[in-house]
Amino acid sequence: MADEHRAFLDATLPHLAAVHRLARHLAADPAAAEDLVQETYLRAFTGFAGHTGPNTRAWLVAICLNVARSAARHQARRPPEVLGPVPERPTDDVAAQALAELDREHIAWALDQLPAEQRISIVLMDLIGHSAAEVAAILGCPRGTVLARVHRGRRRLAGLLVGRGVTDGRP
Amino acid sequence: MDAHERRLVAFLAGDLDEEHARQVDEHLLGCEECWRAVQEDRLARQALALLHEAEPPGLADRIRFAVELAPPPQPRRPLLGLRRRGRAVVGTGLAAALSIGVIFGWLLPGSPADPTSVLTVLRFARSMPPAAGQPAGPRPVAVGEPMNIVAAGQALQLRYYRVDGVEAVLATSAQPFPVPASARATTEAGGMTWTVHRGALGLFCVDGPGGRSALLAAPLPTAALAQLMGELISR
Repeated sequence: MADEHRAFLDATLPHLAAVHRLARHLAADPAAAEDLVQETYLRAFTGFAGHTGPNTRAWLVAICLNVARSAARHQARRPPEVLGPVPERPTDDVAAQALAELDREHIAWALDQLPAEQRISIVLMDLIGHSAAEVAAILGCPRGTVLARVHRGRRRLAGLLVGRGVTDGRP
Repeated sequence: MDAHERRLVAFLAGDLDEEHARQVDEHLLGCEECWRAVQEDRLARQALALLHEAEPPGLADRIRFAVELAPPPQPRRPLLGLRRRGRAVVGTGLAAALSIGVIFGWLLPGSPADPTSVLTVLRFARSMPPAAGQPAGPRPVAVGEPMNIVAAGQALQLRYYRVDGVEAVLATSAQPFPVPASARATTEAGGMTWTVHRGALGLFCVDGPGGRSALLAAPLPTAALAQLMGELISR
């Protein structure tokens, strides 16, 4: 393996799980997510010589977002695909019991219902593990804006998980 | 966002000093709306923790392989330098291009004119991991898990096999494999086959009528390749 390839892989492969976690929430399905991860790494390799910052994970995440946006713009020109069935919402509105009954599929569905700005901010902070300041730098917005989006997104997510869209959440 | 919510967001983010945080704590004791906001924030974070997952097995290998196949990025040269240094810069650029070509050739052994997907299969065939404990026999035995990769825009699934002590790679794709230079091609009812050798490795390709193409690489003569291909694609 050439030195450039080895140096790039040594610096970036430790962040593969984080990039994949983000890709799973940007792509339509697991296979598309893997393709997105591959495209992210190939683009990152092209620009690796110009990457001088200390936060390689944040750099990869930003590239992944850009790749996904480009793909979304291309996809918008295609006819819409038929979406899968929506999982049934839990009807119990007691928070602790709702948490015990949650499964990953339902949580992922609820996350997908959030407005894009809130969803991306939550994914970057709560799933990838970036700080609010890092997310602000990635998205190019103030830190306070990120915190507001995350808080409102979490509240909306919780509301979806306890079925507040059906009832008002009170016993 | 009003001042009330802004203060609560700052509290949840840990931005408040001890005195202001204590004030919010006391406020929460008597404000149902704010208390609910904190509970919902906590519930969402706990739920999101359930979404943490490791990357799928094989993804790291796929990424490593894709990056290894990629040519090293070309260094950027300033235009001003090109005008000033003229012939010396052109000569340096040519040397760089040749170096990159040599490196690329080392990474992807095969004829320099071979399509990327064919070079990918050749590369796989030359880097098959040893299959410890697997008995050698006349019937092909799959080794490891299938690997999905995209080579120059063509999606491939690659699988290793071992048969009679010989390692083989079978690549399948929904697109036909480009025919490399000096390959012998024959057209049959509903499809085309081609075969070529690169050093000790033979390549045998079938573009089937169902839209699936298969490319087999193994150190075997053409007749044996055709027989092995028939066994593998009939599974």
